[in-house]
Amino acid sequence: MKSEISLADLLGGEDRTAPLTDFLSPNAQRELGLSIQSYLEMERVAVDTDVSSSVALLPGLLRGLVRSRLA
Amino acid sequence: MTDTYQPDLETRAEIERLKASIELGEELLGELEKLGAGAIRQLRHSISEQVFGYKREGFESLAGLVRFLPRGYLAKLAVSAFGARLCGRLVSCMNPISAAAIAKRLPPEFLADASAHADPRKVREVIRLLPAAVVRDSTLVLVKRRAYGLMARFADALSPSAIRAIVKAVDDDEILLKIAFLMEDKSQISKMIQMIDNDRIARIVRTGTDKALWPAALSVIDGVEGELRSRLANVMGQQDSATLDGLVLVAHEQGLWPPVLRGMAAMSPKHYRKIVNLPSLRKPQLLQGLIQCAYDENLLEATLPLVSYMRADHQKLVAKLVLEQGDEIADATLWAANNSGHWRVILELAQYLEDSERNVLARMSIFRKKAPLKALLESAAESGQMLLLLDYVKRLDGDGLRLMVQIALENSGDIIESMLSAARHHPEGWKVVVTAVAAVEDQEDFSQFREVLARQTDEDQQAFRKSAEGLGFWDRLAPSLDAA
Repeated sequence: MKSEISLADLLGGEDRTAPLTDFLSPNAQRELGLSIQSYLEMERVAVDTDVSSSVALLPGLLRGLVRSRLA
Repeated sequence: MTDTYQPDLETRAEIERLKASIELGEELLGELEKLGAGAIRQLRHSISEQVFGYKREGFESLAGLVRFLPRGYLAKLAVSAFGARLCGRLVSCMNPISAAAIAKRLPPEFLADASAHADPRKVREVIRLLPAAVVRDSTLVLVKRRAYGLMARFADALSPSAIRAIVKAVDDDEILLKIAFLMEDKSQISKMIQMIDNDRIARIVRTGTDKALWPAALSVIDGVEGELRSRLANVMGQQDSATLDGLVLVAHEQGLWPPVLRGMAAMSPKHYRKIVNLPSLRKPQLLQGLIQCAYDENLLEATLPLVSYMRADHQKLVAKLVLEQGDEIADATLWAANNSGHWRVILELAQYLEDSERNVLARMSIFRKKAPLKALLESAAESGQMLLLLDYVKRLDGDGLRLMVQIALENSGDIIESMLSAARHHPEGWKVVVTAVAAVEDQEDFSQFREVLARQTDEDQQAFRKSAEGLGFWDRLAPSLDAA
């Protein structure tokens, strides 16, 4: 069970959530929040996984660069 | 329109775009649809910022360093080590010229994969710099995958040569329509259509006449303006009755009357008769939806001219339905007729109303205002509808009658003269004219009326007097008319 994060935290500030928090029901806001949270986590995990995979495949100098910037 | 809420086309497109990223349950979907396209777009962009914001500084730093490596070497590493996702992120942070130089060395499948992970706001310039053949080949990969949303995301960045190459290579018009439906920047659709020859455009719109694709076709027609919209709307208007009947049903079921009405306003009137007399448009429930939509969307002015092309029984149905839908819609329809110079249409409809309905119409507040009443009187005089007008005049109250006579006496009394001529042929003609004149209070108006009456034949003058005596007005009118 995921812990719920507010829409404002997920989307980067309350100024981005005004129409959502004003007009969506609490249930819909919760469902939307969980959906966005899942998507962002999936995307971030995929980036991290790809970074790990590419580090293993890159030649020495680049491996160090990628590891220092993205890993 | 059906009872369930039906979002407009842009909201539907936004929902489709959002669904490409996140899951939306039925309840959430229903609530989001009601927020409208703007709010959903804002949500989608916020999500996108979070996605592309992850480790952005790292990608930017890396992009700054790898630009010193040979491009051919980087292209090899892109496929063998980085992979599509990281390349999509990296290219979003690179100098567009370098990024394009590397991208054109990559296989189409890889570019198609990477495009799903590239920030659309950052890579437009890269796409513009790519050779048309490279863009075309990557697009063909996405076509095979039916990735319409992804193609639409980058379509507004295509160069003219890339557009031509893609349109030539993609023979399936359904795909082009679906991409156009999902394109965010509708102004780009106009530019793209201008680069496509007439025959192909006609073919694309004809493809859209399949029931399931009408929304996409309407979205394209509604997304362009001016001559281009007319061109597309005319292709729509050229379809056979069965196809157009399908359009009417889709418009009704899916709440798409606004783009249909805007499209019809842009098409040649030669198609109107066929469309407005379609069998499906004779269903009262459907017509009610259309009228309500024309009112809600401020499209009554564009809709009124269509009524003239309807057959009589159909006009009769429309006239009754407008009144049945309440004073607010009836009043708005009259104002729309006034503002767009279509009083003649109202007179056409008014002839089909029953006695009680005529009373309702004559009670409308618009007939207490000089400018619209004057325009109506002039239209009735021009179109030979004075007999009908007399029938409505008798239903006006004192203020309405006074104003009407005042207007009718302007310009040497041309309109009152037309009314006097009509009075001869209407069973209650003289009675109506006498009642109207009896409502006058201004001595100058009496003076003008006397001049007009004096120009009539002795027979008509006698008929006026006889009617005034019968109504008990003569004793009051005679001194005023004499004194005037």
